[in-house]
Amino acid sequence: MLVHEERCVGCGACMPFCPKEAISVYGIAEIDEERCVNCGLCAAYCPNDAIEGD
Amino acid sequence: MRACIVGAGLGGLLAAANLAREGFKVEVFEKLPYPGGRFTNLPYRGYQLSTGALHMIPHAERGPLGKMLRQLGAGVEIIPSQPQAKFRISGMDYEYEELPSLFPLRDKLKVAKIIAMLKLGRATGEESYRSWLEKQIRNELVFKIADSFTGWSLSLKASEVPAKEVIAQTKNINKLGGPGIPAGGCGGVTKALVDVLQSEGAELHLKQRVKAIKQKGGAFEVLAEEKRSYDIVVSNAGPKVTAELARTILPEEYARAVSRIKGAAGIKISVACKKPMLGHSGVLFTPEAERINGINEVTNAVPELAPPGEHLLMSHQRLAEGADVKREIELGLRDLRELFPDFKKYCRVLAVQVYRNSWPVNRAPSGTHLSPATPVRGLYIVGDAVKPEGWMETDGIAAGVEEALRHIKASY
Repeated sequence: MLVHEERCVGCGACMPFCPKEAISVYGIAEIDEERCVNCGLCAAYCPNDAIEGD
Repeated sequence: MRACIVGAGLGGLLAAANLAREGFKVEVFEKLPYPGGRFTNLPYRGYQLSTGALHMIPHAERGPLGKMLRQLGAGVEIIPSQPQAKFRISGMDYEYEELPSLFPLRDKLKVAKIIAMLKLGRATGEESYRSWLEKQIRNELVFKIADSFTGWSLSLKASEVPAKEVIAQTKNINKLGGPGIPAGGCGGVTKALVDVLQSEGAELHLKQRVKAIKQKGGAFEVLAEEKRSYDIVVSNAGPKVTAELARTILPEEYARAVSRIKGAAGIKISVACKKPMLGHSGVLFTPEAERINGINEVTNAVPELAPPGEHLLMSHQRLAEGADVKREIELGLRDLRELFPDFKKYCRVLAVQVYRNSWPVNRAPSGTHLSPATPVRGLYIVGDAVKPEGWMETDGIAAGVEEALRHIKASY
């Protein structure tokens, strides 16, 4: 999954929904590619359309 | 009468529930997979974090939101904070009434006079709260207390909010009392409202994004997954997005005016604690902290918001425009460690959440009063850009919805 930095505000709404705990949010969301399984839940829960499948 | 509600945030849900009870055929469209917008829970590792609000309602059951929830039959208890607030000054916690005692004699009377003036509620014009205070007193601690209050409740500095707004708010606090915590947190309120929608026969469509609001033959035509026709549209999508969706029917000046509105931004830090760090359910204002304006520990009123025996502490700080966000977060975390000397021993940061740009604390800063009525008859806006004078946070949203309903009832 890909975070669009200009749209991500760092609100953290995606973080709790990640089944792999692959997201950390500190001013902006960062996705650990090693853990990410591209399930797309984070993108669905993002209020700002800031995450997309890559 | 058919009503379309764009967005299932608190304003949208309140408008939908009220209109459904008035007999409108109501449909709510929400682009996200969950309702509640910035006013619902985010369950995480046994804690109920939130999408936005700090699980607090400014005037508990006695304000516009508490009143509206009761009228709607939304069964949600709001537990009054006890005490309402404390102020941490030089390592000690004081109640509001105790503040004058902190000042040297020559300022004591002035502070007591300011408190009396805030209570009596008099100020006119656009003068800021800070310059209004500067006319009464020159004392850095007074200005810091003012900034912590406006930073916590409005995400603004005292210099960024009109004095008359703060005075009207203080008047309401004196009249109705301070905050309360809903059972179940923000999500408890959202769930209760969704239940009202269901029992009133209103439809809530999740994961359905509204793409355009147009007019055709005296009715509104709203394009979501399909095209449908309505008599009125209430938008909870924020003024900018609303102007974009309805660009073919709203005058250009309106879109230009709302495009200039700058929202209020803030940072929330949620902390898991092995023991109560505040030990009460009110707000702890932190005037002397570098960045943090205030803190609450809602689990003292609603223990279910954390795993058994643990506590959820949340801090809020205003975020200035153009500030370095990572640096602001670091300063907020440093404040927490300084405010609680045993922070490292008992506490663990669960999440740092930033609210800005398209997902702010408030879409319009307090003190700017957007009308719920737009230039297009039948198109209304609700949400945190529409907060009538004197009403903050979620009580402001409910008061704005009340105003929208008055407009709607006068015309339909």
